Amino acid sequence: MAEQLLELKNITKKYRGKIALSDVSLGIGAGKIVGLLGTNGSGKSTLMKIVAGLIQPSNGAAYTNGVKVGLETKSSISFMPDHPLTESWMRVKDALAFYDDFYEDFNTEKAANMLEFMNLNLMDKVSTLSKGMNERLQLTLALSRDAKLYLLDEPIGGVDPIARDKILDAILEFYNEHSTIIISTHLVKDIERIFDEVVFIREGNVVMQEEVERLRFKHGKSVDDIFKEVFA
Amino acid sequence: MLKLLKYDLKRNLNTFASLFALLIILQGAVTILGNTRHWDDVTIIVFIIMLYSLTVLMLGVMSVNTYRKNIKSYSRRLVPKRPIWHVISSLILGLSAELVLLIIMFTHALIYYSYVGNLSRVINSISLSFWGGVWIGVQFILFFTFMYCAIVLSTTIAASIKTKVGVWVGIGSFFVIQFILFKLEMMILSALGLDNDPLFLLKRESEQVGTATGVVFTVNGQFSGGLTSIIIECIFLAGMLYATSWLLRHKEQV
Repeated sequence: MAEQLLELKNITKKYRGKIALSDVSLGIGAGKIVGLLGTNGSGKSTLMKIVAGLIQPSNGAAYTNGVKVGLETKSSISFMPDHPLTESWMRVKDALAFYDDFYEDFNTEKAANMLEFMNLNLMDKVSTLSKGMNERLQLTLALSRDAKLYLLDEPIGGVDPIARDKILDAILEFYNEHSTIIISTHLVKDIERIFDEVVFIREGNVVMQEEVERLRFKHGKSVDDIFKEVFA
Repeated sequence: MLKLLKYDLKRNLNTFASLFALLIILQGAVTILGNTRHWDDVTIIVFIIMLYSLTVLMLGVMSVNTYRKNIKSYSRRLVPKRPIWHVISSLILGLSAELVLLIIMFTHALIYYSYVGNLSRVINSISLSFWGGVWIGVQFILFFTFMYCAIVLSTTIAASIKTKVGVWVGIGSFFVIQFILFKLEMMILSALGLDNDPLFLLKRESEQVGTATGVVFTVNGQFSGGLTSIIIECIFLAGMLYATSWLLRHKEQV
């Protein structure tokens, strides 16, 4: 059994000569909610896509549970990207059926509970859902899997404060304590209450990785204040 | 793979159904109007063949488009399935749609024959044995699959290049792939001392039958070099599928 649930070794990613990630190495253990914090364009989404197996690093490698990211790890990683995981023709029930068909770890009972919690109806058409409701659906799909690692890319970006609270409550309510959730965001203030650990990423480099409690104790400030200092 | 096919079908069902419904309406209109208004038989047949040809083409475009959407779709790229199944799923969708079209064509032919009579004024003889029919079917499937794989590979090459020139590289690569494989096949057949049989063994001759133009269809059931061509083309297909799959694994399209 690998010590770290997620391990990144010297990952570099270049897009047309522009460096999105520069020699990033970090390890994240199991059973944590980790905030991947950085401003727009800092490399958060790129990092998540590499871990999810959607894109390949230019250099270095990512491992989950000691297994190099690839086809095999897609079964144990649940990714909620910044793009919809559904298709426009679908109703909510079709989206659930899609997940049930392709992911062995999809938990239909958990999905039903989450739908109720999120006030979503099975017959709702995905294309008619508001942005906030759509975010709720995407989160329902991602968290309804009994995965080892969850990657949530900007789950509260662009939604109103009510939906934001609902999403954060859902994460806490349906979070499996044996798994790890990595949440990328730049809206630190709204979400810092749920983090166990934070990783600050700036211009493709990891500039800080620390337990939240230790960080608050050391600096005597909230994570949001530290974030503003680091990225000012 | 069947699960991928299921969702490809669900996504395209309305479009396919609309296309087939439109085709049936147009074919019905041509058949009924043409015969009640005493159009020339050749004109009717040309219209009918044009409509079917256009549908064949559109179904091909739709299956390639399904693949193109899939490789851009996060939901499809994240499923724990080998990339090759995404390629094959859309191919089978296209071939299945062509099969439905074939059934429509046969039904249309039967109805036409029942109500209008034989087509001796247009086609005065059809010498098509069972194996000749099978041969045409095999050639069509091979042709469709070959074109699909070549376009899909070019599409994947285009999607792998993130700059604006990607589209042009994709278009260019399609013609380069065609040219190289054509030359390679000719070289192999020539080296094996086999004749370069035409891809389609349908031979057409025109002659005057009374006042109307007659067309004679004969099917060459000789397999000789054709079978070797099929084997070579199957190897090329496997190569194109592997190349597409490799690009999907190593170059991002999302």
